[in-house]
Amino acid sequence: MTLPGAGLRVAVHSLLGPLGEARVVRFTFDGLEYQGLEGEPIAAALAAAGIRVIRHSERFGRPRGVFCAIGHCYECRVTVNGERNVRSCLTPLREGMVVQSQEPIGPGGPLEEPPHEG
Amino acid sequence: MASADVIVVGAGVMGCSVAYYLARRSIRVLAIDRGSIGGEASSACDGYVVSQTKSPGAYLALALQSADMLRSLHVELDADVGYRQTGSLIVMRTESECDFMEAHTKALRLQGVSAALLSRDEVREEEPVLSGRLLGASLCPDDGTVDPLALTRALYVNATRLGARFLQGTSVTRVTARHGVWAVETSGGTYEAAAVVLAAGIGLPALMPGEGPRLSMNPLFGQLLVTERLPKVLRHCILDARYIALKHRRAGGGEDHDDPLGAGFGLEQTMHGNVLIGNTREAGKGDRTTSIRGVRAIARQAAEIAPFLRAVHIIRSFGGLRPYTADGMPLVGPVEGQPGLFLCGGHGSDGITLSPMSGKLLAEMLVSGETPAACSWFLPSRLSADARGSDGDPLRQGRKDEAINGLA
Amino acid sequence: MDSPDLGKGRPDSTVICRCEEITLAEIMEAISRGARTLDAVKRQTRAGMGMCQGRTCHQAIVRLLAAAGRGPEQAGRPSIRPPVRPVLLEALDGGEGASTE
Repeated sequence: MTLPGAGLRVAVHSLLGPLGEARVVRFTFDGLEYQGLEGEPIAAALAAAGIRVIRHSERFGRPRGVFCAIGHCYECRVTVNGERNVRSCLTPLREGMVVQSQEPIGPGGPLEEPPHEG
Repeated sequence: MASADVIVVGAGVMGCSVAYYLARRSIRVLAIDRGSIGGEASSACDGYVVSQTKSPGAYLALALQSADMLRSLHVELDADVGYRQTGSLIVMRTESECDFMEAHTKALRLQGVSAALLSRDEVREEEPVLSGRLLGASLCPDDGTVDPLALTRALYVNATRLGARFLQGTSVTRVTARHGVWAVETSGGTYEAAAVVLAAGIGLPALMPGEGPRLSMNPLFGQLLVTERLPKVLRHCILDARYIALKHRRAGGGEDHDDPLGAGFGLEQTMHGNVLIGNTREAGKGDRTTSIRGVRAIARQAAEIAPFLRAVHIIRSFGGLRPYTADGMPLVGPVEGQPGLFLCGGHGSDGITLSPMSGKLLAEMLVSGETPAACSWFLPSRLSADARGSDGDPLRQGRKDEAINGLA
Repeated sequence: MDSPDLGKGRPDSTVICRCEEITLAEIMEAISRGARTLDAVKRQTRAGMGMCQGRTCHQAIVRLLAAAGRGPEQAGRPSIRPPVRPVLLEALDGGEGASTE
C-alpha cells in the first residue's frame, strides 16, 4: 500500500531544507486504519489521508478541523489513546496511536439547532 | 425627585434576586453595582444545593425552602438556571468521619431530609468513578446543583423585563438619610428613593450609614478548578465529610492548623459538562487571584477521592471572596433605627442556594413592614443588640460554631 | 484603537467564541444589556470559557465592546489564572502528567 498523500507532503522546505526520511507508521482514526509518517502532526497524517473534518462541534454539530494550526485555538482537538482534547495540529504521530473524533457532549447529538443565518 | 421606589446596592445573585422579587410586585427598582452583574462572589463559586451540609435547625429549614424554589424557578423565569437533581454524596474517609456522619444524618432525617448511609460497595454502585478506598458515603437523593451564572443572569434579565433598571460600573460612595428619603451617592451622581437595600456582600460594612450600627464582614477566599468539558461521568455532586466533621467538632473558630488552605473536597459536573473541583477556604486574602498552592491542594484531594480525574485536563482555576458575617448567619431584613434601610447579604458559602428565598423574604418584609418572628435569627437587628451588649465586637465564638454550617 | 465596527453587516449567527460556539447575536445582546468588560461578556455568554480560554475570541470581543463605546481601558484584560494552558490534573498533583501532546 502506498502511503496516502503522495505529493501532498512537503519534501523540501523553503527554510528547513530537505525534511528527510521518516518511518511509516500505522494508526487508527475512528476505528479505521491509516498510515502516516512518524513524528508528523496527527492532523497532517489525517489531511494526507483526505480527512479534513476532525470533529463536529458540541453545540451546533458543525464540521470542524484545523483552524490556527499552531496549537492556539484547540479547534483540531482529538482524543488520542483515551486522552481528550489533544491538539492534532502539533502532536507527533506515533506507531499504534488510537485517534478518535470527539463526540458531541450531549446524549448522541449536538446540543442545539444551529441558529438561522442572517 | 425619587429615582426609584427602592435602590438596591449590589447586583450579584442577592441583589438580582431582591430586584426581581421587588419588580414582580410592580415596585420601581434601581440596582447599582460598581462592577458587572454577578461579578464578585456570585461568579466565584460552585453550585451545590445541598441539605446534608447544613446544621439541622432554622438554617436548614431556610435552605430547604430556597432549594424548593430553585427546582421550579426555570418555569417562572423562562430560563434554564441549570438546576439538576443529582443527589449528593458526602464521602467518608476515616472511622471518625463515619461516626460523625451517622449522628449527623440521624439529625437530618428528623428534619425530613432523606439522608442515608451507604457502605463502601454501595458507594461504588452509586458513583463508580469514586475511589474504592472510601469507607462509605451519605446519600441524599433530593439534593442537586444549580448554575450560579445562569441563575444570576435569569434573575437579572427577568428583573429588567419587569422594569428594574441596572447601573453597572458605578461605585456607591455614601448612603445617607436626607429629609425623609435615602440618598445614594455614586461616582455617577446621587440617586434617591424611599428605601434602600444593601446587597453588596463583603462591601456591606463600608456602605452602612455612619449613624447606624457597625457591621463587620470576614471575606473568606475560595478557589476551584475547572476541567475540560466531558461526557457525563458524574451522577451526583460529591462533598467530603471531613470538612463538616471539622467544623462541627472544633471548640473555637479559626483555622485548621494542619490545613491552612482548608481544602474541603467537592466535585460537581455542570450542565455544560465541565467538572468543578473545589474548594479552598482561605482567610486574609484580599483579591481574587488563585494560587499554585491552592491548585495543588485541590488536585491532591481530587486524585485521591476520584482517581479518574488524574487523566483529565484542568483548563482554569477561579475563585473569589465569600462574605461571612461575624456570627456566620446571613443578614436579611431591616436595619434597626434606620427606617427604609434593609440588608440582604453575608450568606457565606450558601448565597446561591439561599438567593431565591432571601430575595423573596426581603421583598415581603420591605412591602409589609413586618418582620416575622421566624426570621429573627437572620435579622440585622441581632447584631446591633450584640454591639450594644458587648464592647462593640459582635463576634461570639460559641454561637458562631453552632451557626456555621455553610461549606465548600 | 481605531477599528471599524466588527459586527456590522455580519449575520447574527456568526460564531465569535469557537470553543463554546457563542454567536455574535449573543455577545451583542449581552453588550446591549450593559456588559462593559470582557469578564462581564464572559459571565453573561460563556464566551472565553472553553479550551482556549478566550485566546481566539477575546480580540474580537474587545473590538465589539469598542464599537459599543467601551474602549480597551474599560473593556479590561482577560484575567490570567493557573494553569496557563490545559494540563492533566496528575501533573498538578506532582505526578508526571505525561500528556500525549
